[in-house]
Amino acid sequence: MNYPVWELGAWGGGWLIALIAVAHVYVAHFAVGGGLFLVLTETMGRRTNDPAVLDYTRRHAKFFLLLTMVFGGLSGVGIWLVISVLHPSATSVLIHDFVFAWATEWVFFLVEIVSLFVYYYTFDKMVPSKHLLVGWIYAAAAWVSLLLVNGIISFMLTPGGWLTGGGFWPGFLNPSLAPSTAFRTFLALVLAGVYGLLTAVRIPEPGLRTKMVRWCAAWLLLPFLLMLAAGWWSLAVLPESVRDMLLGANPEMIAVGRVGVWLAAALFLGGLLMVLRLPRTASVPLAALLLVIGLFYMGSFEWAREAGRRPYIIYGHMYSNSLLLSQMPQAQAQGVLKLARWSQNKQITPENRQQAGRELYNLLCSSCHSVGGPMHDLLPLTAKYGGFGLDSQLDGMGKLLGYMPPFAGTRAERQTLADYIVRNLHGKQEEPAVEFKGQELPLEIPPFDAHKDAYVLLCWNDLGMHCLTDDDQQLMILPPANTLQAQLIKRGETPKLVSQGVEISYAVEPGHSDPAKRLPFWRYAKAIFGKELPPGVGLAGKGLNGSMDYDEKLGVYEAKFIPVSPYPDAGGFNPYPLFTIEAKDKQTGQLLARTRVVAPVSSEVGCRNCHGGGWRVDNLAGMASATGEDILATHDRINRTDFKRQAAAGKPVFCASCHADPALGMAGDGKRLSFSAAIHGWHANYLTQRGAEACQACHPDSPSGPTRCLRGLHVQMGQDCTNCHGFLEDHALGLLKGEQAAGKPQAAALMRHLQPRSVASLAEVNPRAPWVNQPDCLNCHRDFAAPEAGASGFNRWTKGAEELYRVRGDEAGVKCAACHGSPHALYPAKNPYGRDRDVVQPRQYQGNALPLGANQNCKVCHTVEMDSEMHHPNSLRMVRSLSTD
Amino acid sequence: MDPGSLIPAADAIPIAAGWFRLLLLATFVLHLLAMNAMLGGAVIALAQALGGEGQPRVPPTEQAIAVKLPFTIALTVNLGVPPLLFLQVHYGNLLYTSAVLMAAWWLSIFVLAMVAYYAAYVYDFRLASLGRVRTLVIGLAVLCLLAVAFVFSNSMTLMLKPTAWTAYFANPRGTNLNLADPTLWPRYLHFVLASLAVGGLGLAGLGSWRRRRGDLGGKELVRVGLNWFIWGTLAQMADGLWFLLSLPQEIMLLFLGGSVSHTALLWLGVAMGVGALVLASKGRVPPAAAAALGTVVLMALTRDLLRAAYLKPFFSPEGLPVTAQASPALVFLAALIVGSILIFWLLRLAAGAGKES
Repeated sequence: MNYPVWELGAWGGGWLIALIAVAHVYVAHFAVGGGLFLVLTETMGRRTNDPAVLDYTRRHAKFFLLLTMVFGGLSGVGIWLVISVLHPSATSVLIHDFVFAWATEWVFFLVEIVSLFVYYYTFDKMVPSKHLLVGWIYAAAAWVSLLLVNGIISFMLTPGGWLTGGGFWPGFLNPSLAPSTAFRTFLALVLAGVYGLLTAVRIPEPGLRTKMVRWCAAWLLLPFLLMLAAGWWSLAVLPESVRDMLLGANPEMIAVGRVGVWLAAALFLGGLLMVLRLPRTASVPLAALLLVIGLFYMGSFEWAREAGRRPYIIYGHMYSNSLLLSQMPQAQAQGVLKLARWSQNKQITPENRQQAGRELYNLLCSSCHSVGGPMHDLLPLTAKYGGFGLDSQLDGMGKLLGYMPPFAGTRAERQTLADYIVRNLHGKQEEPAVEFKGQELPLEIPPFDAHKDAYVLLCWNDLGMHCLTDDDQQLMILPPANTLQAQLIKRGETPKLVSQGVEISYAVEPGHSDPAKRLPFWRYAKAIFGKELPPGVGLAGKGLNGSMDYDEKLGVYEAKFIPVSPYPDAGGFNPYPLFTIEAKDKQTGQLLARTRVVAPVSSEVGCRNCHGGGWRVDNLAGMASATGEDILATHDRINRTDFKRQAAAGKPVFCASCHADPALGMAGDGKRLSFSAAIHGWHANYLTQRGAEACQACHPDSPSGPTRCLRGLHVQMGQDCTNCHGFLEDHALGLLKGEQAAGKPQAAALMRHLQPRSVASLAEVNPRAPWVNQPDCLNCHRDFAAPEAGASGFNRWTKGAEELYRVRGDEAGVKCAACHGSPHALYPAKNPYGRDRDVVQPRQYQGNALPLGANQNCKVCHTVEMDSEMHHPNSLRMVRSLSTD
Repeated sequence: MDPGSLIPAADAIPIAAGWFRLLLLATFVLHLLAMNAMLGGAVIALAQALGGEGQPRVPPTEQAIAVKLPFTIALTVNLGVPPLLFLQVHYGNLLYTSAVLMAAWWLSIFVLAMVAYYAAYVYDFRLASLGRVRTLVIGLAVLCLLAVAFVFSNSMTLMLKPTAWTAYFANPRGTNLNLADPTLWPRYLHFVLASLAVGGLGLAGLGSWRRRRGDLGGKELVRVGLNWFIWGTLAQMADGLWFLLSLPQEIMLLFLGGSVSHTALLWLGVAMGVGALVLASKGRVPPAAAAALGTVVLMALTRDLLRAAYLKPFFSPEGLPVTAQASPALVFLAALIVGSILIFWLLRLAAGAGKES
């Protein structure tokens, strides 16, 4: 953050360095191995007294001179020049800390030049023994040059003791110096053979040609295995973090490594072929091909070295964008624009936002990324994002995937950079979200005569919202599976819960009876769940109409996993379809009671916010194929799975088959994190320091969205998801700690960068199991009383499923939800699709939207006034601060 | 914006700044001499080629230069490494900044030098067979080398002027030059003319050496070489004055009595140059060469003072923290001694090659 940044556009992303450096090192290694090649080839010629061999050596020496001294020498200068403009801060460290290594290298470079000139220009003039000595001097000087330069290059990857105490020797004699020098030495010998072949195949005389080609092939082949062994040694001495990066933690290494292995094999095979007596028509192009293969092999090796060093330019000291590791806290607290010496826009204002974004891009991104160029092009990498998604991506950078540095700036800078990339580099003009205004769907509340009717039928949805994902062709997170529960109460002075002799039926409202028409679920159910399901039938065998089953344990009638869809048969989107529930006498068929209830279901699952793609349906909801594809591709890239191909081959990926999901009764594979812990833990790293908007990014509760699933009384009291569940970080940490406690150490990686926000430390976060340990209502409503100011539902979990709100009931067996409504839609809930849509039963039975029996309206069931708080303490208290309408 | 605030923080140096100044100056003088021989030689060769057009044979002077030109390029490049290295030790924060501002040009240096180098080899190896095309080949080399010099002149002046750095904010694409600096052209010309003169003197030295060994062709080299030296130095006098007058007034005055050391060094150098001119006009090559060498050394010192004067308000390497690590310097010293012995031995061996039997 010390220097101006050269704005390179398409030429950025390390392309210039790669171009110059790979070309240089390819020739520079030849300059090392080729020296020994010359002197040993001359020795062979002298010993066998073969003038033809000597003549070849002399001609090869000319080629060597012209290539290594001119191209090699000048491209070496080129590397200096290019790093000084692309990484001036790092160059400055390398120069200042190792100036005398460079200076010593220069001396050997001078000796190389003089000895090579003398060697070439006196080839036929000098006494052979002295001439050979000159050759040996060249070879030795060249190798020392390699050693010295490699000391500094290897320092960049493994600074060793330099990191703690500085100093020339700890840096130079770093852990990877010896193995990497050995590797480069053997590589130089291999390349001497490759280059030798280039001139040897052109020898006109067949006998000599064969002899020299085999000689060169031997140079290629014999050191090859030593080179591989040294490569292995080099890998072995690397710190684990670097080795991991090389072995695939940096996803680009998988391709580079694969290419490197193939190229090495091709090089070796080519060398073997050269041993055969090939005709010149074959050997000349093969020699040229081997030279090209060698170049790319060298390129893959240097690429790997650079990639292994990510996200640093000097490992553990300076990030690739020149920010010192020690400067990161300051950059994040005060802002990188303030820290950077060469920024003009120290404060971001609406007027300078674009310019500030450009400066941020130059400072933070351009050292590794190009814009539309051949190397690390930022455009395809960020094409899927809008402002929110990219901001989130930047938020999570460097936390879970170590090849990028953490974002070095403030929140405002992060958003400005995201905006700049989306709006200016991609030219996307994001329309402000169109707020869904809500709509008033027709609703007929069934009649209830308090004097005549003998039964009260109460029904609710177990979760208050069931989400579903509908890119079933590719992946399955949640199927259509909405559960309705009901209780029938026979009214009287002492009402009774009816559990036998009746049939409770349910029927979806007209227009929602054919979910298979618009949901692809049934086409893939067999592939995903292993069982064929008739269209319109859910995973528990229930259709859109049918009878409920009595669950003795729960004490409720239940229709499990009704596959209701938010897509009406005739089109559009309605996340709150109504069901009519009827209770009939089993024997007589007499209708005892009828009511209605919504089965809340939404596909407004916001994966697209970060994974790209649009909404599948009406620009409102549903997962588009592009979104699902990106999720799978991302999973493949990070976890080395093969899901995208698997899905394309007709086998959609069912997340819960590996990641346990109690909501679906799936045990997973027992080894991986539960789905809840994995998905919240991962994404929490990308959505830090936010409020409910972090939850709303994925769950269907965006205030401008078409579902707004949190619609109960709490939201009317100004509360949101975080009041009960904690912030996303808290929520994720609770789940991850639960996984840790269950013996899954991999949770730690997701936890490393998460800071709890609702409590002071990680130690205070109580572990929890998904769907079982939930915030207990009684955390805030102690003894069913009004909550104290600032009370939070977070961190005191229900001990088991039996304590869950949706399971719990009073001493008489009446379920909490029966009177208070579904979770997330507690009475008096306000539904965006109609004022009374979520409060049909209170309206029906008592003419208001309050919980059943509220404001001492005991007569709904009891037919007489009551003075005992039998259901729960405070149940006779008048409703506080809410409209009784 | 305060231009001083743009100066990047500099890193610590391992031994006292004075050592690096010594190393910088010593190696810079060596680089200058090789560069002068290279550029001057190339220009003289081009002039010879142009003058010799239409003649059946390549003029012997041109031939003599053609053979030596690749060596001078190799040496110039190699001897350019240590001064560039030591310059970075002292002034890296300034140099990198100027380099970034003019990055595209800065990077062209090695490409241009490479083209010149290969052209020089083609010129050397194919001199006779090229015919008239050789003028184009050596012309290309000269053009590239002059361009490299121009880029360096821009960079070396831009690094001294933080006030000019704000140009970056209007153009961060690395295509800035320091063309608005009034010293740029006279300074550039100063180096080019010095190259013609010293290159000419080097040619005369070669001729003089050959003449002493009984080679009659040496006389012509001396004549041509001294001509270039004399005319080049005379032109240098005028350009030197222009350069001096183009300096910011407070700096110029330092060299006109404002500072004893500045004034003494400059005018001693000028006097030494005049002495070399007089000696050259009398055909006394070795003493002229010695005087010219003295001039180069004095001018290099003067240049160092000029740089310090420019930077005085902003930066001084003497203020850099020192980490006190002498052992790597001793290793370098040892390598330098061993390397020098080896080189001396190699050159002696080469000089004696073919004479053993």
